[in-house]
Amino acid sequence: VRVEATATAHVFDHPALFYRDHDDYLDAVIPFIRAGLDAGEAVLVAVPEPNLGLLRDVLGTDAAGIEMDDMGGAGRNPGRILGAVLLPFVGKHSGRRVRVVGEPIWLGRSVTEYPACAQHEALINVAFAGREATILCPYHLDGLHPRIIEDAKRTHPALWQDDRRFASSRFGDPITVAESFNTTLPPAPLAAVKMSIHDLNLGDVRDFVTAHAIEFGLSKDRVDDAVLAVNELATNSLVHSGGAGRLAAWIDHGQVVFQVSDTGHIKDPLAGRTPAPVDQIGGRGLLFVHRLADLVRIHTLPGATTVRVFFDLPGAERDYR
Amino acid sequence: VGVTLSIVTHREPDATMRLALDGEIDLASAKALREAIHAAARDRDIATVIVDLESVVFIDSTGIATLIDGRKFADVCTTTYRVVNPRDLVRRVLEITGVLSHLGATA
Repeated sequence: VRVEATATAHVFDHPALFYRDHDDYLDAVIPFIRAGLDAGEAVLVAVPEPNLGLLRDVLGTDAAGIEMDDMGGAGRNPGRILGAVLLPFVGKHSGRRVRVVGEPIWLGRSVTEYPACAQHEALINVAFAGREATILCPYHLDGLHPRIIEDAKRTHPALWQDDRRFASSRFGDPITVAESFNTTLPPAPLAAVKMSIHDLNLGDVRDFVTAHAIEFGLSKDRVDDAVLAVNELATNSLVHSGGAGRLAAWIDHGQVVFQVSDTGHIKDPLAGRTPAPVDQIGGRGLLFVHRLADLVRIHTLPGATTVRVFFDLPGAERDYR
Repeated sequence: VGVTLSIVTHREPDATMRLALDGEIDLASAKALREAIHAAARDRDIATVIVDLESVVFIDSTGIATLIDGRKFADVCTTTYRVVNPRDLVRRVLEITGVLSHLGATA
């Protein structure tokens, strides 16, 4: 019998679980889920396959009372996990404590995706501060790079391993930790196609994105996604960056990449991660970009911001699938 | 920069004004749309404003902000306000951003 460590001591609890195999995983996660059900909490399981199927099999009929999302799809872009998965779940269950198994980092995450994943883990602490919630984040101890495990200790105030539950001595200020992943992006390839954004030329921007997205091989729906996402980024350049910016596009490792750079600065690390109330007039642009893209990487400083949006090419099967 | 949106106003029975839009709603065209919605909503002879998206082929978050601003302004004017006929990409954008039902979008 395990000790439930997520007592009422903390309003928001955010432990990382370090597991080595399926048995380890189930031994910790199943009692965690059942304790939530017993306490009448709203329970969300947002993990990738094969762990999702594993949990569903073991939970049996209990799974009916739980919302289960495939993180491989819903959280394909880590930048939308807060805005499209976690916070909407909280919104649906207002007045109830929520309990979440959230696994945003898995073996197939690429080097390009990882900094955005780590930022997300840090910013959960900010977005959920003061909320009645527990979010347990499983990390595959043997499969993931040791650096990732070290980062998890910085982004989680509590750590679970085997039967032990303890505070993380490495846990840092979440904004500072998130900022540590706001790093220079690798340079765009010389072969990238480019155009400038100016004088409200959004129609030209959309034509450019359409032409290159088709040429690079995106499917019809994904061409639309790319057009919508880049249009939003270009609009931000026009509105927030003196009416100008630069757009570039290229293919990298089975993904189409569009980059918008300008002289603006994204000051709020939660920008684009918090759902907008339906009657709010603005504030949807970056949120929408995160919904559309498979990955968003941002490097922002006062006077210099670069945003890259990535779209998976068909056939470029990734490890998690 | 060419005009990306045309706005044609139709007076209809029951003190209704229909704004028939054709084209793209983005930063370049949103201001004209906002002004057209406000003008119709504040007109004392108009009880209902219908924003008809049937021929709109593109909308973005700036366009959505304009439609929601129109809803708020119409409420202030106690004018009935409806957004109708979003098609294809436009419908999908309103759905993804979660504002479809708030705008009273129909058909």
